[in-house]
Amino acid sequence: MATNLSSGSVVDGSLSKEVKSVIPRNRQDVLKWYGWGYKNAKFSFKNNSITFEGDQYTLGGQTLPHFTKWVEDQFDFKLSDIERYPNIPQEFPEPKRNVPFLESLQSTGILFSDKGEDRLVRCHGQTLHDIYTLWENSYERIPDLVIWPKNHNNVVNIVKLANEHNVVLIPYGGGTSVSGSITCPQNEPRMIAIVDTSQMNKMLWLDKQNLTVCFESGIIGQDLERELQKLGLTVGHEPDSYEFSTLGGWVATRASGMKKNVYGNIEDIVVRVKMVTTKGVLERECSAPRVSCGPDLNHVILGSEGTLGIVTEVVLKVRPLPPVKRYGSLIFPDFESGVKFMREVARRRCQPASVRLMDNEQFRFGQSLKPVSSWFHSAIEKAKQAYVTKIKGYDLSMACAATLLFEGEAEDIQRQESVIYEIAKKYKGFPAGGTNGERGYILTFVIAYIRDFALNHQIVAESFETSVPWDRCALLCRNVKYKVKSECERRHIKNFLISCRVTQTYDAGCCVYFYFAFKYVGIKDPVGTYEAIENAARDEILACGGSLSHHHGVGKIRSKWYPKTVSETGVGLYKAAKNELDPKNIFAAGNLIPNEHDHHTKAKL
Amino acid sequence: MPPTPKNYRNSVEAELNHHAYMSNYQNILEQGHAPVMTKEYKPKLPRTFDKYLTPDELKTVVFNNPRIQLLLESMASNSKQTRKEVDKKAKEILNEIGLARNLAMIRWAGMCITTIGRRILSGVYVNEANIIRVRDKMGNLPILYLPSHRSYCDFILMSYICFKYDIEIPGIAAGMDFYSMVGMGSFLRKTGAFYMRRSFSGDDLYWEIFREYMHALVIDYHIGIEFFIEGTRSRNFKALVPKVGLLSMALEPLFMGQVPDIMVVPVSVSYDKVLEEQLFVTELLGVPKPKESTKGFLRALKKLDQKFGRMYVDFGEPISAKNFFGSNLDRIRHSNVAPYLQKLSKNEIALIKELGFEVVQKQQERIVITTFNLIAYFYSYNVFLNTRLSLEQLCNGVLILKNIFDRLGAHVAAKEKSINMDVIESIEIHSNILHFPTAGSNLELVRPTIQLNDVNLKTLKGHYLNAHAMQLAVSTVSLQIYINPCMFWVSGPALMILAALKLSNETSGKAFQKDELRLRIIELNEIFAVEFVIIKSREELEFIRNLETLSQLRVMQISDKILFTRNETADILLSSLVPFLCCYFQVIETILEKCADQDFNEKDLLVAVQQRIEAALTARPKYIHPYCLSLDNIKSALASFTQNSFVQQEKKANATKYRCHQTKLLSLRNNFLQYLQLLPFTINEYCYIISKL
Ligand SMILES: Cc1cc2nc3c(=O)[nH]c(=O)nc-3n(C[C@H](O)[C@H](O)[C@H](O)COP(=O)(O)OP(=O)(O)OC[C@H]3O[C@@H](n4cnc5c(N)ncnc54)[C@H](O)[C@@H]3O)c2cc1C
Repeated sequence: MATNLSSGSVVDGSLSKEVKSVIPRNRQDVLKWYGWGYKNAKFSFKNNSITFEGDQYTLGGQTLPHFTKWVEDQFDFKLSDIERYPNIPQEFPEPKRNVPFLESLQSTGILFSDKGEDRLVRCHGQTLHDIYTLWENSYERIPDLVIWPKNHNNVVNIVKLANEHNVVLIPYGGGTSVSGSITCPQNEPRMIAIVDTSQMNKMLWLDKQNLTVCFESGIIGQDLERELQKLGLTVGHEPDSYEFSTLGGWVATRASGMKKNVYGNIEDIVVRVKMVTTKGVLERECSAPRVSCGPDLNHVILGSEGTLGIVTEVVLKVRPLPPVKRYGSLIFPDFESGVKFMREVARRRCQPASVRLMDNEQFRFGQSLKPVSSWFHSAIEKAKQAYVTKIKGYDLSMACAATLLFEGEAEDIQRQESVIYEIAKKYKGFPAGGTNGERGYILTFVIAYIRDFALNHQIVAESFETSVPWDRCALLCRNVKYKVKSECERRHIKNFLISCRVTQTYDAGCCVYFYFAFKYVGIKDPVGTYEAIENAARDEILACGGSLSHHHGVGKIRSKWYPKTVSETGVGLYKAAKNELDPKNIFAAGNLIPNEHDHHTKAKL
Repeated sequence: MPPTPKNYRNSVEAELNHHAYMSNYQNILEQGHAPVMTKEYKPKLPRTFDKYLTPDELKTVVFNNPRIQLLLESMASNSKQTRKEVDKKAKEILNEIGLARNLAMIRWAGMCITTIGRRILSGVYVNEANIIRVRDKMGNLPILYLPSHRSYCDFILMSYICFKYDIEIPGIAAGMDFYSMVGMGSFLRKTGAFYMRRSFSGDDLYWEIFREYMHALVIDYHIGIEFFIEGTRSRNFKALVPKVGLLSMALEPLFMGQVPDIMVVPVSVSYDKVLEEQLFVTELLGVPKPKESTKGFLRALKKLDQKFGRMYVDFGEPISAKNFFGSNLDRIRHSNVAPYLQKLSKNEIALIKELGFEVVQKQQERIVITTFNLIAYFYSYNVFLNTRLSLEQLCNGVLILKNIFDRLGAHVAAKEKSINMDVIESIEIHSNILHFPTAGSNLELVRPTIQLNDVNLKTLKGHYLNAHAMQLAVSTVSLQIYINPCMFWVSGPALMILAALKLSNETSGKAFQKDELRLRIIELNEIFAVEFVIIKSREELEFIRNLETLSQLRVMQISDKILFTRNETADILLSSLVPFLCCYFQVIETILEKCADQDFNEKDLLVAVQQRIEAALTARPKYIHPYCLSLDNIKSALASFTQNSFVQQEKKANATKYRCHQTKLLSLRNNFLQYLQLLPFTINEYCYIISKL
């Protein structure tokens, strides 16, 4: 059984480093309770123009007249400056109290809280459904307790007590889940405790010889990168949520980062991972780079979505910080040429750190996010637009763009660039400069703020993603767009946006990311409607050979397709593992396997 | 894994043939046997490598160790020092520590040893069969030589002997007191020493560098390492509780999987008489040892017209650390993370501690019991009986003791055939302690001539004793330190007899249960664990062995019960405990009288006990033995009371405070009193004898 529970850590604790996080324990002090990101960062409509506030970002304080126009055109309405953001509730559902558990927990000295606000801000992730329910203040069930372990041993204690007293535990990292995985199960009769990992965020050790580092699982991406970059190193894992999502969350969801071409996805970066289960600690007892020792049990942990145990410590690969970082962009006459370009890049395995292909809608949307600047610059921009349409003869309503990020030694980058531009040429693409590319990547972190702004203007917006073999990529994009359009039309939704981009390339296929938004004025159940359309789109995706998810995970909202994706035998195997590691189902978040009793997705709105 | 009772006995029995054993010893100062210091020195190396590091390259390896680099990095970023400055500091530390051997210096030193040795010694005896056994086993493992430590001569002797037997001279961990002696520091370094500070606390960089130096010696260097597991020279010639610090540093690479095994060689060095004898005696009484200085060293050399008798060196059977730890050694546990990021667990430190005890045990088993040890013992016993000894009676007594010690498994130097010569020669060497004032007279303690005029009162460790007390103390402590080496063999049986005496008394002489005896002994062992280096894990083994020996000696009759029969052997064995029982009792009395309800520190207690004994000496009091004045004794009593929570210890920033647990201590006092009352001796006779001198 749990032999390594008692043997304790061999690591010299004096070498570990406390990390001061940008997010305090009381996360609502710095983060929006009702939406995405920092409290002070948001889009707003003032003096007839959209502005972005938020000094954390380069776009902060900028006025965006093009964007204003783009929104008004796209959704056919006039923006108003009324803000309808909700006020934080003052009353909260009564917490269930498992008294013996609480008493034992008290005696361990581990910090916990049953304050309503603490529980509410951790009852959800970032799906449209989550946020809308918050706005409507219609959660019936929120967690009953929040616990803050400080280290692995604390977690061991918590899991032991919860298992003894039959208390449900939900591991909580950054709460950025977009699969419903972190959303409080609505029909759970037992006491539910959130295990908030934010206070376990130490860098336990760094091994420069092997280029490995060990962090506690609660560290958030930006803290992790900041600490390593101070030392001239990087992990290079940058999911778009990396400002707020945690190492443990990445592992539990099999996250994917923008720069996976150089650094790999989380499963390529993780060397070892420690997970506390009710039966003991699961960990591969070896740091060797590759092993042939039966099925890789790391992969039982990766993607377990909080249903098997709590990830406490993770050993990751680190890389020296690249000396040179350069951006680039390409413009293609149409999306399919772009896809061919992407395919060729993958075939030749010459991907730069990141290469992304945007469809025409996103291309224009991106252009619209350019801030106003001096007349001189805008004149140049105009000239450029003119150049693009006229000289190359490209139709602006068809063109699409790719953004590029190169990282490495100067000579290597030069070589990479010339290969990429040569391939682009083959598919009628031409370089459109580094600034365009750079803006694309800077916007990455800002775009997530649009959803709250949209909701304020009665637009629901959400993204969904998939991965697909190369031969079906263009087809899938076309079919899904068609499906969404026809579903909208069927429901008399006139003002909507469906757009896609190819964000990752692999040998055998790529990742496609869709944005879907519509103005819901006159529609009774916007979220229900949204979900119905997304479900239709997902059926289409699966029919076109796409996967259930490339990186967001299954969670609750995609669990109904899980059996189909892994086969009934696969479900049986997962259930057997679950039964072995957690026979009492205390990790009852209800992810992966559809829960017959929990109708969370149908919760009253 | 400690040996099972069975193979333990076998190994002891195997050597019961003492005659054969002692005949393995070769006097290497003898003409024709002394090492030829000019020979080509092609020693057997403990390890073979493709490429051998120079001492300077070894320092570089340590400097580049990632842990050291990490530390230097963080020091540079967390303090005002630049990286260059901290690097410089690290290199200075490495130069202070590091080996820098010089073969010419070794040859020269060796010649000096032969010359001086021939003048003042009657021989350096080396067990050849055993040293060759060690040499034959060398070749592919790091090797640790762990000698017992009774004299600074240990340093010099080991290298001399290695040279003689074509074994690579090990790197010897030497204290900084040598380092600061003008000329001596670099002389010793050239003959194989590397240096360590005594106190590492407060200087992280030093500590980390020293630790990594030790690791590098074990992992990357090709010579053996020698250090003293007892930490310091035992001033009272009893074994000291092993220190685990250096040993765990040296063994860490084994746990971390960086070396396949480590060969640990206990080495026993015994002396008829050590150069430092009288220094030790005064030190034990609280007159601090003079700071080591070259001048002092030269002055000591002047003393070299004295005779110091023989020295014996015996290399024990190499212990494979890996085998010793057996399945408790879990190297896989450490294989996941780079070694320099790890530390040993408490359990592992406990394992290492066991090995430490094993090494001390093995050293002790081979420490030769000299004729003077037995003379001192027998003389002391007779003082308790209030009998005087003629030469003939003394020789007989020594033979009686030899008989007992042979049975206990000790190596006794005295030979039955030449007993008269052995005894006379011994007394000659130790004529500062015991003598026959005139031909045909009885054996007497010598009244010491002591000048303590240049004693600096401020540096006194205890109370400033008056001349009478001082004289009494010097002569008895000098005598006692020669009885002390016997304690390794007799303390176990003696404690058993003490327990049996009491049980027998309680049952009015009837037989008692084995378990009752066992319980009493466990109790006594707890009290005397520090004094006699008793480790819990050997307790049962020793119990069985002692019971058996005592039954052979007809002290115990074992059927389903045990019957104790007092005889002379029992009395002889029992007498060895008297000084210790008295001392512990007096320490208890002092605490109860002086410090019952107030905090006290160690020095308070040392002074109070010495004052108490000094005052009592003139009054022929009960249960006083002058050895109670020995500070080491008082300290180990305090350590024992603390370990057994009769006294509570509170460590504060710069002082350790003690407070007694009155009721517990009172009951311990009564326990001791009962034991003392049962002793068949007139204990205060010493005071009387001395006062008559
Ligand atoms: C704007 C935005 C952009 C995003 N971009 C990306 C992207 O580029 N790539 C990508 O992969 N994902 C992305 N995501 C999804 C999300 O950020 C990831 O799934 C992320 O890994 C979740 O991490 P978290 O710390 O927020 O986990 P949470 O949301 O707190 O939890 C997610 C799941 O992991 C479990 N979990 C969390 N911590 C632990 C732990 N220590 N032990 C066991 N289980 C645990 C939870 O129980 C839950 O089931 C994005 C989300 C948003 C909102």
